[in-house]
Amino acid sequence: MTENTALDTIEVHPITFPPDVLARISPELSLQRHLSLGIRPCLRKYEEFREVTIENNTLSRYVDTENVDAKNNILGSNVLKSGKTIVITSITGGIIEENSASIKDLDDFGEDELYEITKEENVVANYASIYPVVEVERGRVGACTDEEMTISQKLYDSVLHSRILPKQALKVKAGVRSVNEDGTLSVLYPDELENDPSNETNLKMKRKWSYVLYAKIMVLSRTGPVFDLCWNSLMYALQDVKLPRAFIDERASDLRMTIRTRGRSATIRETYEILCDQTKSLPLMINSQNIAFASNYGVIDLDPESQLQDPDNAEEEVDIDMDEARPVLIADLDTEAEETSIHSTISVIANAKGNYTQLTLVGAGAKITPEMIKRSLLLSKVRANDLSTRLNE
Amino acid sequence: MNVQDRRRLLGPAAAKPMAFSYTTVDAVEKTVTNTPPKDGEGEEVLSLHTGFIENCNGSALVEARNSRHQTSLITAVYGPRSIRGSFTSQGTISIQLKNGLLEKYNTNELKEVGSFLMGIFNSVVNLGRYPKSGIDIFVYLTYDKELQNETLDEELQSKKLFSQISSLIPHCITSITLALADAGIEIVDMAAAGEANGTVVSFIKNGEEIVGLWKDEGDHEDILECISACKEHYKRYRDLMISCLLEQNNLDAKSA
Repeated sequence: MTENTALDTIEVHPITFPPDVLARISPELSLQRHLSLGIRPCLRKYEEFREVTIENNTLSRYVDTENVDAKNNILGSNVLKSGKTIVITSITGGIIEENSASIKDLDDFGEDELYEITKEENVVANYASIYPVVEVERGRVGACTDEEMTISQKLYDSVLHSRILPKQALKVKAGVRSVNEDGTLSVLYPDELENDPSNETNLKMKRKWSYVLYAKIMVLSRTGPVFDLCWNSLMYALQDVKLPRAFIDERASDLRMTIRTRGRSATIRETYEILCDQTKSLPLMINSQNIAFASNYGVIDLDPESQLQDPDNAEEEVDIDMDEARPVLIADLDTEAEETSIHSTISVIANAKGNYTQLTLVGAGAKITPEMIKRSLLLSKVRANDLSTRLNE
Repeated sequence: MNVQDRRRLLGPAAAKPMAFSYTTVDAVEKTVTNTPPKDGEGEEVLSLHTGFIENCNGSALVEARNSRHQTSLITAVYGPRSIRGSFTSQGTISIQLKNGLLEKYNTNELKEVGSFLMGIFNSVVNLGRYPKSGIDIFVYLTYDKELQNETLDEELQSKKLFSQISSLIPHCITSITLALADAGIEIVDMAAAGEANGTVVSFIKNGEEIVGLWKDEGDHEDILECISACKEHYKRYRDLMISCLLEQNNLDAKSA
């Protein structure tokens, strides 16, 4: 009985925590406290973006145009630093043989009409994408995380629908390597020999190849959502990609042989590898007017209850309506506190001219008002304008 | 669709990675004219940074460049963090090496180096201080480039690749030691190593104790000579690490 009474009279003392401890145990409260002062936990203002610094093409094989790095197979690269996060993108390539020639490639244009009819709906079919593999380093081994998978897929889809990479740009203009009379090897490219009629007819090949582009995106020091960083890094890297010239051996350029197996005869083609030229390269012709940059926003209600009471102005604050939550727009989400407490997000991909290629709204938290959407679209344009100038610096 | 890995977008299965020809005439000419002057080994330029990765306990960046090659490695230390399962009286270390941008080394090679490094750091880290915890170390070989573009035949090239991983090991050790120090994990002494002719010897305690020995193919008749050559490297790397950490410390003190 005595114990019970002792429990009943126990006194509760308020506990205070240093800011970094509070941020850890109650990110939501810490965020609200910061926001009530007009800043965010990362000490940025509501609509302030992180500074972005980039280094383009420093890792690619074509860094030094005079002396190509033979063992390097990176065709374009970008290192992007935004706040504390580092994104390293490297673009590599492969070559695929086109086994079914598309209608456009056929010499017979009998199906032209059908092609014209379907063309309008099938614009996306004329564009290719890049195959991204995103790796967000967080000190774990094993299978890739959901985040990595969704970002990779979103990057793939966004590049495709942004119509940045026309399929035409990825076609291999293959050359032919032949042995000269004196035993040396030389490579002839059809488009380099336009004024030399003797070679033109020999170089027509029936087989066609395309380049395939892969991107490896490594995210170090992840502090918040990383899709826009990956996207922006990929955009920078894509603008500087150089495709190596490719060639095949003269002997194999159109080689057939007949074989007989089990009484049947069949014609097979000699398989041979298409090789890439060590030094010669062509820039990747992307639709540079479609290059756009991503930015993200969050909407959160300011909670009047967690506002810090200023003891000096205590009287003036009485008229604040404690029930009314005021939503604010936060740009460029970063830090754990913002990521875990802000559930309504807006994600925009836009270019400097104000052409928008993607808008994603997730309204899981505070209400996203039309004004907020307008504001975020405007900010994206400004941001894209700023980011697009980085490459030329 | 790729059947092996449905979780990643690996592109069409029929696509072949780009194969670059080694016999193009132009390439040979170019490399001959651009070979840097052969002034022996040349002085190695080392640049060290710590604590730039936010979501781990300690990190280090080591960039090395000499006349032969240029390397850049990032190390991230996660831990000490609690492990699942039954009680262990000592901490456990795991070291993963990862190919960065250039897929240069195969997984087996990296695993072998990883377990060699694990052997070293098992004796360098004061594991008794970290019961029931794991320390996970990740080394990313971000960049590794040979500066001399010699066109060698296949056999020589594979040999060269093999000897190269041994030249990377001292830098791995330097960067892991730095990252451990950055994470505030107790170590017995600053470990570092040197490389000579494919032999890597790692030391602590001013070169009095050897904590690891790696031997690759290569010409090393006199092992003692190798060891003394490595010791020279060790002393240089150790001094650099200490000055780097002190500098970092001063910076932190200033900003605090």
